[in-house]
Amino acid sequence: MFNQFKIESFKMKRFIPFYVCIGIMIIITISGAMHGLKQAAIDYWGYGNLHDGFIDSVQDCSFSFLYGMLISWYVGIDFTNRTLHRAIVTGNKRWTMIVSRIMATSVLTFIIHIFLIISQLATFGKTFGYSFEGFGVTDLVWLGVVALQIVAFSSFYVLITVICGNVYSAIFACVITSTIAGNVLRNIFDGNYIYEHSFFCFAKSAAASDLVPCALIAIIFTVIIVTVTSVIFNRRDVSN
Amino acid sequence: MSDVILETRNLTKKYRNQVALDNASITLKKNHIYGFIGENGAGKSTFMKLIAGLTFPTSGDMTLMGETEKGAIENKRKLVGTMIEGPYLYPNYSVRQNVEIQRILVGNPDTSATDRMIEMVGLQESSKKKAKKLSMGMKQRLGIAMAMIGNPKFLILDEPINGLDPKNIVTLRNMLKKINEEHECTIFVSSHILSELYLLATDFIFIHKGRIIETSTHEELEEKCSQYILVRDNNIPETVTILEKHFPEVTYKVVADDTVKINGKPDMKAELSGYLMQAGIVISELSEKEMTLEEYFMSITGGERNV
Repeated sequence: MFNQFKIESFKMKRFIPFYVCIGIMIIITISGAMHGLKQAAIDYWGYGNLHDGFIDSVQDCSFSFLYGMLISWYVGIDFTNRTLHRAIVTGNKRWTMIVSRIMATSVLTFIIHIFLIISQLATFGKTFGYSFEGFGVTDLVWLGVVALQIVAFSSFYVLITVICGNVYSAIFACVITSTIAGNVLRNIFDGNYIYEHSFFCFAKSAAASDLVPCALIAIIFTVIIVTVTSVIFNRRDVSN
Repeated sequence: MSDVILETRNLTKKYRNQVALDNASITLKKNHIYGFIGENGAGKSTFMKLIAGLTFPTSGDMTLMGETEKGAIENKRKLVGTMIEGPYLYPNYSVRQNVEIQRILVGNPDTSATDRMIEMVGLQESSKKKAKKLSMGMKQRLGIAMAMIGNPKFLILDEPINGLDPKNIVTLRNMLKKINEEHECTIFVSSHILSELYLLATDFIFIHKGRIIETSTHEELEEKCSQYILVRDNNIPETVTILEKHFPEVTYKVVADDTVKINGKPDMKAELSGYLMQAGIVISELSEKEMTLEEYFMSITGGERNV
């Protein structure tokens, strides 16, 4: 499996859509750093310092559709190019192909999420000044839990991609699903305990009452989804 | 140590109600070059995909390099080089990057192997070129380099000469012969360009409608293809009756109202002539002819039929 991680890391570094996403985030960052927050937003949400930017962005799942697209693109292209076949015919265990891809897409997604946080910090910094007062270890723990949720999130979209079996239908299915799960349902299930602790919706606060269930659910679902994906993929003919 | 590299027993693959492969049982010996011959849709690729682990059999099993258990077979696949339905290339990566990825995948620690394989297939000047920019022949050669990077003992190539020009076909043929000799590698190669396989293979396996219908060594096939008897007379139905009565082991085909073609057994000519004359049949031609590999293939796959 280590060999596959090496290859995934090679591929990640050359995955152009990832750099396009990073580019988008950089544009948002520059724009935020130039214009800052609108007064209406400050008044409505009650923002007051740079840390509020972190709180706002670390739990932000507005870009779920982008993450879903990126994951399905990265994994699905191996089906469509038939490059996935190379790992199979060289005797690699199929579950290792799933795990290595989940790791890769989780890293890609997490990096973009970090860029999203940076873009928000730039925007808030422009408005409130770049003071890191209020930041602490709990924020790192919070980020760690979101990272776990991103792993579960990636696992889910890798599962959809494996079921679809090609990049085009996978992107379509994942973008639709992630838009509904990340952008539509959050309005419907605002305040719903189950939804707000699922991996579709990143942890809402650094409180243990939020972080512990979020982390547990993310870990449990990652294990379940990886198992289900491996079982499906283990029985699947990869012939196209 | 066994000299068998692969043995399949009643491998069957069904897609819904369609049987793509029907009880395929073959034995491949080490260091041979096997030509796998069949029409499009005969089941060649299906069989190869089963061996490579891309698809799973509906029934039947196999022994690969002495291993029968699924996990052990998977481990042995590191010693199998494959190119089934074209090389699986990362189109935006260079030739070298594609081979390097394969080297890592098969777990070959020898970093110099990448350049050696690229050189072996003559792509050293294109090593920085993106795979998508390569010609068909270059892609096929790249596929061979990737298949060879793990120092395989068994090479499975599906239609490797498809889309190649005559010069590239010769280059590929010579390369495969060299690989077979120098690396002691068993090669299992499919094609429907029979004349080309005839120049390459030491053994032949014929597949038709999902069934393995014949296996022959090169010598046996040469013998079978070399001669047939052509009979032209005034009473073909009676000639057929005589053939079925006195020569039940031969196959034949009525090719015209007055002509029948009898496969093999040129030594039966005098005996047949005697029976025909006894029956009062007027023979206008009774001669030995040569059969091409294509004609032989047609004769065993039902292109010719007994009537």
